[in-house]
Amino acid sequence: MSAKKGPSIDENVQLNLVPMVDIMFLLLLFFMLGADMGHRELEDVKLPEADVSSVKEDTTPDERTTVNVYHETRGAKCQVYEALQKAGGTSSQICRDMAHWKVGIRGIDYPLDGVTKSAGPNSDGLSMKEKLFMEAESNRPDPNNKTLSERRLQIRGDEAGPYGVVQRVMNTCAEVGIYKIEIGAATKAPE
Amino acid sequence: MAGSTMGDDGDNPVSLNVTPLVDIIFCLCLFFLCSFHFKQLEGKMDSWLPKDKGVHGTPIQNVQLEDIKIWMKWDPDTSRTIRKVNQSDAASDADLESLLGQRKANFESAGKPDVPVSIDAGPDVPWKDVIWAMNLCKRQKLEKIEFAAPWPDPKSVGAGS
Repeated sequence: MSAKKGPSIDENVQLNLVPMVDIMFLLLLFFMLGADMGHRELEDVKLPEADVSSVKEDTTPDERTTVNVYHETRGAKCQVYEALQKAGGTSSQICRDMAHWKVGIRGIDYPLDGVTKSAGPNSDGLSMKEKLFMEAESNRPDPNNKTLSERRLQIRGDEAGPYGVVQRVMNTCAEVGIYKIEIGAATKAPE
Repeated sequence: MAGSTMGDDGDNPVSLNVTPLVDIIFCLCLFFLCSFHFKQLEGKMDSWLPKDKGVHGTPIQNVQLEDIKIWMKWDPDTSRTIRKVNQSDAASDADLESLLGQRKANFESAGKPDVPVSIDAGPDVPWKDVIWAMNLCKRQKLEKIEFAAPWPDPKSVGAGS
C-alpha cells in the first residue's frame, strides 16, 4: 500500500497584527482623551436634577472655588443613605445625620460647623471659614471693602442631603464676603 | 509597521518586534478602561447672595413685601415637603409654578419686572426639593433667587434620619 502524498502546507503561518495594533491605538487614544483627569477636585456627588440649569461654562476652574457636600461615614454604615442609593434617588427619605456629611474643598474635608479645624492625613489645619476666607481674598477688587469678594463659588450638594448642610456653607460664604454662588445640578443632555 | 508580521521576511530584511509594543498598549488600554467613567452632565444655577442683607447688613426696620417668598418645611408625618408661596399652599409642582407665575405677573403689572424670589427653607428639607423649587422659578423666568438666613433653632436638624 502506498501512502498518498497530500498537498503541501506552509507551516510558517504569521498573524497580521497591524489592524489589531491600529484599533488598540484608537482605543487608547479614546480612553486617554476621555479620562477625567482635570476634575480631581470633584468628589463623587449625585447631584439633584434640574432641567433648566445652564451647562455653559463662563468661568475656568481657576476662577471659581468648588465646594462639594457629600456623604462620608468613615466606614460606618448609614442605612438611610444605602436605602436611598438602592432606590435610585426616588425615596423621600434623606440622611439627616449631620455627622455623616462633609464639606470638601480642593480634596480636603472640613467639618460642617465652619470653625473646627480640618483633621486627617490631607489636612491643611484650617477651618472651613478660614479656607473660604483665603479663597475670598484671592479676588477682592476693592481693598478698602473687606466685606465683599468677587470670587465665584460653586456648591455641589448631594441630593440625599438636607438643605441645612448646604445652608451652613452658604452662611459661611456670606460671612467671608463670597456672594457669587453657583448651585450645581445634574442636567439632561440636549436632544 | 510590524515588520516581522507583514509580508514575506525576504521583502524586509529589518524586522521589528512589535510584541512589547502590543503588550504595553494592552496594559495602557486596560488601565484607562478601568479608570474610565462617563462624566455626569452638570449644569449650574446662579444664585447670588444679597450683598446688603444678612450677616453684613443692617437690621431691616420696616419689613415690606418686595419679593416672592417660597416657604418650605419638612413634614415628618407625611414625609413630604410643605411649600407655600407667600401665604398660598402649593401642593403640587403645577400649583407652585402657577402661583409663581401669578405673583410675577402681579409685580410686572405694578412696574417691577425684575422681582426677586426668596427661598426660606427649613434645615431638614431635602436639598433636592430646594433645587427643584429653584428650577420651577427658573422656568417662570425668575432669575433673582435668594436664600433666607438660617432658622433660629438648628436643633430641629438631626432629630432622626
